[in-house]
Formats: sequence, C-alpha cells, structure tokens
Amino acid sequence: MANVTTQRLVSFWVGEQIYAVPLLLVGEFGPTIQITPVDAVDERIEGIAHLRETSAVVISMRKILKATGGGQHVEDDMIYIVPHDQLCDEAKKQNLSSFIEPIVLHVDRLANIINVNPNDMHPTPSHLVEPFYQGVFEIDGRDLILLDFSKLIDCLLTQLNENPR
Amino acid sequence: MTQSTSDLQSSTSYRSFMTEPHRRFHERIVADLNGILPICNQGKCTAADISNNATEQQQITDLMHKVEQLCTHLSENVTDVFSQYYRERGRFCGAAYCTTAEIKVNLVDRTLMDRSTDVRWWAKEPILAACVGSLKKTAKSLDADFQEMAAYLEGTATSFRIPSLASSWTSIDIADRVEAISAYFGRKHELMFNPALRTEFAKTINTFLEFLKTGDGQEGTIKFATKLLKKLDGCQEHIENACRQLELIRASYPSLFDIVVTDDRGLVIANARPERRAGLLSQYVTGESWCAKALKAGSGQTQIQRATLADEDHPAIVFSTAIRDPEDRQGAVLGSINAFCDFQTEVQPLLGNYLPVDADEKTRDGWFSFFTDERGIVICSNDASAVWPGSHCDLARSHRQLTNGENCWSHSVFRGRESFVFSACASGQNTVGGSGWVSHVVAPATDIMQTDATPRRLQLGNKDLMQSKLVPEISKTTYATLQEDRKAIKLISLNGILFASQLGNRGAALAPVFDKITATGDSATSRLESLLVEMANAEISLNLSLQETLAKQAVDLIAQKVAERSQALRLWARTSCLRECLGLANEQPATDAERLLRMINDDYPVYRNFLLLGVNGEIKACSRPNRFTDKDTRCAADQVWFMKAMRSHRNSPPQITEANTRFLDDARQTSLVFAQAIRDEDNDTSPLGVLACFFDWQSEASEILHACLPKTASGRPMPGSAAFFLNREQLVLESTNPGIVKVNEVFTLPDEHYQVAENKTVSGTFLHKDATYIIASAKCEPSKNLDGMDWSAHVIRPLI
Repeated sequence: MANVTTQRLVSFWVGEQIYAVPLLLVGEFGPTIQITPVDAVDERIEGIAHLRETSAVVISMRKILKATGGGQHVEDDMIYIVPHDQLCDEAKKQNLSSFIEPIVLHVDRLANIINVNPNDMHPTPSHLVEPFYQGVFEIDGRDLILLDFSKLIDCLLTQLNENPR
Repeated sequence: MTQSTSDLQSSTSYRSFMTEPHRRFHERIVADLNGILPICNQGKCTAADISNNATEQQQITDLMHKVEQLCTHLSENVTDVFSQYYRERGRFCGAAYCTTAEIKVNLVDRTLMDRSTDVRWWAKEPILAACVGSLKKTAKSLDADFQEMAAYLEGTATSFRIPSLASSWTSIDIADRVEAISAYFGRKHELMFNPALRTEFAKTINTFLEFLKTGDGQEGTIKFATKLLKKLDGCQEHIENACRQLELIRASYPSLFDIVVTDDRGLVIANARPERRAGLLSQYVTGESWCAKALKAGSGQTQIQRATLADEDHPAIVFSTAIRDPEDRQGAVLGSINAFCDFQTEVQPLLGNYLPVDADEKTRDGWFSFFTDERGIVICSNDASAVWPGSHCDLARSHRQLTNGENCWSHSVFRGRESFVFSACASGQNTVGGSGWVSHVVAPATDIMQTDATPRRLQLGNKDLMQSKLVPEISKTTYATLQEDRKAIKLISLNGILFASQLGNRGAALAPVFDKITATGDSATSRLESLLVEMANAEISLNLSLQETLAKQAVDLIAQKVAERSQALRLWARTSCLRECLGLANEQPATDAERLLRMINDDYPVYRNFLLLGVNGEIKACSRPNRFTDKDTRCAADQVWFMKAMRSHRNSPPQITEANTRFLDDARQTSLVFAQAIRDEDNDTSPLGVLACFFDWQSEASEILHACLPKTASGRPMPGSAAFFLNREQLVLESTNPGIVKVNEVFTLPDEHYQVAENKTVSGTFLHKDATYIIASAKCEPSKNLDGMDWSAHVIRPLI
C-alpha cells in the first residue's frame, strides 16, 4: 500500500496522450457497457449507463480532451467514478472530490495503476490551456497529465449552461 | 471440383508436425500461464489473512477464480492455435497443390486430345492412303503375277534355244537361273518391302533377261518380267513416300518414338524411324492390341493406350486410328496409323515444374509429381529413377480411384518418408472419352509444415493484418478472443488493485498478487499475439508464394500451348496441294487448297481462319471465306507477320506475332497470328507464299486462367479473385473476372508487376478501386519463336 507521501493514480490512454485520475475516486473498472444515448445534450455526454441498479452519465473523454488519432488501440474501457458522498475516508483526507452523481469516464484504453510522489508533479505547460489539467508527471519518459476531476465536471457543466441545446 | 476429404485429414494430430521453435514457444507460454495459478492460490490465502469480512473475502476469491478460468482458457487456446494453424496450413496447401496436380493432368489431357486430333489428321494424308491402297493391290496381284512369271520361265527353260555363238550358257545354266528366280516368288513381302532383296532380285532377273534377248521368241517373258519389276519399283516408291511423310511428321514432333502404318491385315508398310525400318517393315502386328483397336476405330476416333517397346527405356503411349480412303471418309478401313509417343520424356519437364528446388536448381528431396492410371500404375513421373513408369504407385485407394474432376489430399508415408499426397483426376472435359488419369504431387510433411525462415511481409499494421482475407478465420477468431482475454485479465487485476487500495493498509498484501497477475497475463497474451501475427505473416508469405506459382503456371501454360499449336503449321505448310495452289494464276479457282484448309479448320476449331497468301500478300485461299467481305482485294503485304514469315529461313519455326490489326478477323482488337513460309521442297529458293492462321487463344486462355485462380479449401475459386493476361501495352487479353478486369481495356499495374522480367515472378499489394489486393505477376521463359508474344500473367485476390 502506498505510504503517505505517495498518491495512487489510474492512468489511461485517450488518443496519443496518457492521462490519469486519482485511484481513490474510482469505484470500478469495467469493459464496454451498453450506453443509452440521450438526445439534445452536449456531444461530450454519450448517454446513460446502468450499473448495478444505478444510472451513471457516460462522458466521452475523447470529446472532452479533443483527441485525434490513436484509433488503432481503442479498447473502449470505462472508469466508474463514485459519487462524492460515497468517497472513502482516504479520499476525503486527500481533499479529493467527485460529482454528486456517479459518472463513467469512457476512455480509449486503461493503462495501469501507478504510485506517484505529488512533489514530482510539474505545473501544466502554458500551451495546455484546459483548466482541468492539474499537472504533469514524467513516467517512463512520457508525460502523464493528471486531471482535476471536479474541475473537469465544472467545466463541462459551465459550458452546458452557457450553450444549452 | 469435388473435394474428397479423407478421414486422415480430420483425424490427423497436427501437433506432431509442430516445428521446434513452436514447440518451445508452446511449452514456455503454457508454463507461464500455469505459473499464475499458484499466485491466485496465494491471493485466496491472503484474502483470509487480511479480512474477517466474508463478503470481502468472497470478492477477492471471485477475482482469483476469474483469473484462474481465464488462464485455463488461454492455455487451451494456445494449444488450439497451434493445432488450427497446422490444420489450416495443411488445408491451404491441400487446395493449392491439388490445383497444381489438377492443372498438370488437365494440361496432359488436353495434349492427349490434341495429339489424337493430330493423328487423325495424319491418317488423312493422301500419300499414306495411296501407299496402303497401292501395296494392298500389289500384294493381291503379285501371287498371280508370280504364277504367270513362273509359267513364262518354265516355257523358257524348255523351249529356249541357246544361240551357240553368243554364249557359253548351257541348258543347265538356264534351268539353274529359272530355279533361282523362282525361289524369290515365295518371298513376296520381302520383295515388296526389302529394298536390298528387291535390288538383288532385279539384278538376277535383269541378267537373265539380257541373255534371253540374245535369242528369239522370248519377248513375252521379257515383257512380263519387266512389268513385274516395274510393279515392285512402284511399291518401293510408295513406301519411300509414306516413310518420308512419316519422317517429316516426326521431325515436327520430336517426342515420338516412331510412327507405324499398317495395312488392313496388320502388315507394317511404313514407319518414321529409318534405323528400325529393316526389322519392322513386312512384319504382322495384328496381335498387338493397338493395331487391332486402330483397325476397328470408327471414323474420327483415336485409340489411346500404353505399349512397351523392346528397344526403348520407357513405355510408350500409342495413338492409333484407321486410315480410310481420302475420298470416302466413312468408307472401308485401308489400314492403320499408330504413333508411339515417349510420354515420359515429353511430360517429365511439366511434372518437374512448380516443385520447389534446392540450391542446385534440382527438385527438392522428397518432392514427386506423377500420373497413374485407374489401376494405380505409374504412367510418367518427374523422377523416373524413384517413381518408375510401369510400377505401382503405392498410394491408398482413395488417391488412386478418383473420378473425373475429383481431388483429395492426405498425410501418408511415401518412399519411406512422412509426406503429404495431393491428388487430382482429370476433369474429363478435354479428351476423347477422358484419360481418367490421376495426377499426384507428393511433398515431405516437414516442407509443408515448415514456416518460412524469413517470411515475406506486407506493409500492414497488426490489426489490418489480422483482418486480412488471407489469414484463416480461425486465427482471426483466436486473435479477437485473445484480445478479450487480455483485456479481461487487465480489468480483473486493476479492479483487484483498486479493491486492495480501498481496504487501506489491510490491502497492501494483495497488491503484489495483482501486480504479478497483470505482468504475467500481459506477457503471455502479448507473446501469443506476436505468435498469431507471425503465423499470419507466414500465411501471407505462403499465399504470395503460391499465387506467384499460379501466375507462372498460367503464363507458362499459354506459352506452351501456343508453341505446341504453332508447330502443326509447319507440317501443313509442306502440303503439296498448297504449293500447287500458289503456282496457279490469280483467276484460277483454288478449290483443292480451300477444301484442305477447311478440313484442317474443321478438325482444329482453335484456329479462327487459315489463309494461304501469295508472295505479294494476296489471299489465294482461306478456310472461312465468309468472314471476309473483301477477300479478293485484301492484301497482307504490309502486315508484320507476313513480312516476318517471308523473311524466315527454310528451317525456321512458324512466326508468332501478336498483331493489333483487324486483318484476319473483325471481332477482336488483337490477334495472335501464326505464319509459316511455304517453299519448294526441292529448291532452296525464296518462299512461294505464306500459310497464316489466327489462333483462337481466348478459349485456351480462359480455361488456363480459370484453372490458375486461387481456390478455397473446398476447391472453389476464391471470391473476388481474378486472373488475367496482359500484353506489353497493358491491354487485357483475357480475364476470369470482367467485373474487376475488363478484356480489351488497359489495366494499369504497378511498374514492378508490369515490367516483370522474363521467367521471373513478383508479388505484392495493389490498390484498385479502393480495394486492396495481393497480386502476383509472371512472365514466361524467353523463346525464339515466341518473341512476338510478350504476355504476362497476373493473379489477384482481395486482401482485406
């Protein structure tokens, strides 16, 4: 188990880039699930998925992150993010927050679970303008972008409110 | 084509064919996967250690079970992959080599048919009919002649008064001479067929006649004896003419041991080989089945059978037919013509073709190709020292007793070596009655199952590669299943690690277990993926190589067919009737020549039209005059083929020219013209004219191309595939699939395919109308008289 100085992240591929979210936000990893499309919403929201008697909004990370390419290795993996009230104590201790409703992140491919030292995180380079980019880790010679999940949801909600369909 | 699948194919354990690298790979990957099972057990134990909560324990145990199931599934999959790979390889090679066997036997079947037609044509030669007719008549009258001559001589012996001053002969001398001459009368056939004896007889009788001339009252004897000698000389002339004609035929067909002509009682009256003549002429061969059958052959029938010749190494195939009166084709049989073909020598190169060769360009050890008859007796083989013609083939009945168009393959032991045997029976569509022969290709099992050390690769990503139509469906399914399994293991591991992390410090002991499962699962599945990709590449390499063979077979077959057919023109160009026609003035009708050309064309419908042209290119006669509206004014003087033939030497083979002209026929843009100069037989002067014909290669080419299409395991042509011939302008001459490759249109190919070198093959990918194909191209070996035919063969099949 990671000690207090390390943080566990789950990394995943979207397009040609590798991203990560804190593992403590995750309730389960799953294969491709059936998604019920919802009309008249933002294209970044793929629809609703039913997971163990719960409905969860499925977000397309390819659309959110405006990914192109990398289609060769798409496995359509899903990351189930638990609702905020179900976060474990450890998550709350680390000031992590999620959304009030369960969310499913639809990613190209799950990569791995890794331990990182928060002190090794570099600030987001200036050309990466998305507000939900929390920082960058260098893992095996590659840049891994840590996403701030709550900001990502905020960003999505703000844009939805500004441009209602 | 019917696929006859033997029990062996389904029951063979393909694991026994595994190569050493595959065997090692199999053992290692199974060991790796088995190595995960103790880790799962460790995980289950850890679950009990870290939690007293039954639900938590059950969750961990369930995850471990899932991993165990996946590993077992993967392990079984690996074993299946190898089995399926080798089975598919066997099936693929089965389809490919059965095609090769089928092409060979059908080609030979066609050769038998062509040769049968040739022999029937030779039987129509007036010189032979004249010879048989004359000798029959002479033989019939000679007995009476000899009796009459004997009476004359007897009279001479008793009544001749010897002039005393003119000679020292006594009456005893005369009696002796009479007796000596009479002794010849019992040797009728020898006198007819033995030139030395005839000369001796003539000398004896002439000396006697000279003496008789010195006396009186012997005019009758002298006159009759002279007439008798003249009659015998007439026999000699007919025999010489017939033998010369047969020698001429044999010069155009070098694979013939001999050609023997008999009369209607089986008496040999002429043959083609001078060195065998003395022992053969005047012999009765009625007891030989080939002669008996020939004499019974109906009009338009040729009998084909085997015969052993005492002075030849290999058994001969005998083509026999009856000789009838040229004026009455349905009339009585005058005699027979029997062509003895050295089939082993003729067919050996064909049998050796398309078998893999070693560094010395010799057929690789253990590879054989041979034909057998319905009893399993070898007719001819690529290696007569190992598979002897006349011996039994030692193959299972299922391989020996195939019916027309059937094929089969199986694993067997041949000549002490584990081999695969691929057999195909002639389609039976080409011969008169069908030969019923079965063609076999034998290959060592190791060669069939061995993966290419350096397989040729196409520029394809793994995903495209695994979607390729060249990769067996079973490999694609396995690849897809493998991806699923790999993903499932990863998800189980990730969820396990997640679960462990949710347990906080208690879960720390579980993390290494899942890490190990992830690592081993990843490594095993990645290696399996690499194996499948390697196998797919091997399949593609094999496909490319076999497709090249198909293209090569197609171009070689058409070249061989064209060369063979053009040879017949050489013989026809020597027909006296055509020479005579060329000597006629323009306004005189060329009835005889037209009738002859029409007769040839009726017998050989592969030619569209025959033209007899004068020195200035004017049409003197043709076999299908109704195809021209302007026959009298049409002139070939400016045609390349005409000029080439007029410039050719006395012994030049017929000139073959692909002419992009409509001179001969209005229906096609291109024509393959055979042209042979006609010369005076005795004077080496410039040509008297040209005999030309348009070879109807469409039907031949179409048949060859269809035979050379890539086939599925069930023997049907691969969907979406096409085979076609191009000329040097990339114009499509013939195609099996007009939907993709249209005849008479230019079909642009990549340079390396269009410019493939002579006697070479090349293969690769090719994009046509948004579809990717693999393409193999080939050109035939350069040949002197085929320089006007610059064709290439191409075989394409969809890749994805």
